[in-house]
Amino acid sequence: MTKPYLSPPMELQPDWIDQNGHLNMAYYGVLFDMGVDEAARMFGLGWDYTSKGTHTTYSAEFRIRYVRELHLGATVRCSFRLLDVGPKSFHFCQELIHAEGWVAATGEGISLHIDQSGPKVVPYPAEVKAKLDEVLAQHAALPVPDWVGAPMRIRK
Amino acid sequence: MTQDPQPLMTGEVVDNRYLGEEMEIRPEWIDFNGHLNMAYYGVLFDQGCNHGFRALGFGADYRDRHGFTTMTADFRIRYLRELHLGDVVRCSFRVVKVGTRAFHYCQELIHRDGWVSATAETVNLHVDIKARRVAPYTEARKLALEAMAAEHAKWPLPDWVGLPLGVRS
Repeated sequence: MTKPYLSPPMELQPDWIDQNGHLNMAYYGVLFDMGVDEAARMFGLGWDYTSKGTHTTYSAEFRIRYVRELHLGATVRCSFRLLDVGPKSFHFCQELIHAEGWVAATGEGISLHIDQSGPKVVPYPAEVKAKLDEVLAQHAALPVPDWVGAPMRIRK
Repeated sequence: MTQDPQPLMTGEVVDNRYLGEEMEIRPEWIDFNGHLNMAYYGVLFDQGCNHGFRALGFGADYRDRHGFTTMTADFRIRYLRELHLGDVVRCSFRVVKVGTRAFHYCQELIHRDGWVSATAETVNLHVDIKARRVAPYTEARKLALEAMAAEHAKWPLPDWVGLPLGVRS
């Protein structure tokens, strides 16, 4: 399956709409975070793993590019593509895709594996690392979006 | 010609940082890790830029009088240290670069005890509300942005501005 993972459909909540009458910038982050959940389960980093209370994942960095406004009533799905896997962290990118097919925003993040007794960043268990590497190899067949790693700047 | 109202006095400068009001971490923002969920740092950074935008004259009054608003084009957070329920933070606001229709700014989320919990970097657009299109700043707003940029340029630029994302091996 050389396709990025796609989340189930998600709807906007009324209290996420701001004075511009559209989805407030901060709540794109909520949708991207929810969109990671299913992918985390696939890697063995879902609730079954984190609810034991010994290990979990933290976000180290996250970046959103806002491409198009979303309004109340919109339904979106979130894609997930692995970009790189290290012993203790992975780099991924996402697209927030409207039910009509257009991209509302892109996300790019770094996820860390955490030993909660620290908390400190520690290597993944072998089976999780193997699954991450397997999915990374599959996703390597997909083109890397041209916005990944682009520096932040204004147009003149 | 309508006169722009004078910007409100808002925020305060402490140790080369232009700080907004105190904000407290709410229960509904805590996730299964028992800390502030990554998404709600975005809420704090958004609220924590209000002093800057007010001082620049981009309030509700500007929207109503001129038909322009501001929208975010690009936003990036670096998570440095966890925040927990009841923690109180303030957010800094620093203009990095000003264009004709957009400006680049950076922020730090600072715990009451003085340490930095997260950093953010943003590109903000000036938008014609009716047309829903990016539009040049009014002259008064361009001058306000350039004046603030010149003020903030006296402070050292954080070394994390403009860095690419990546994993450590």
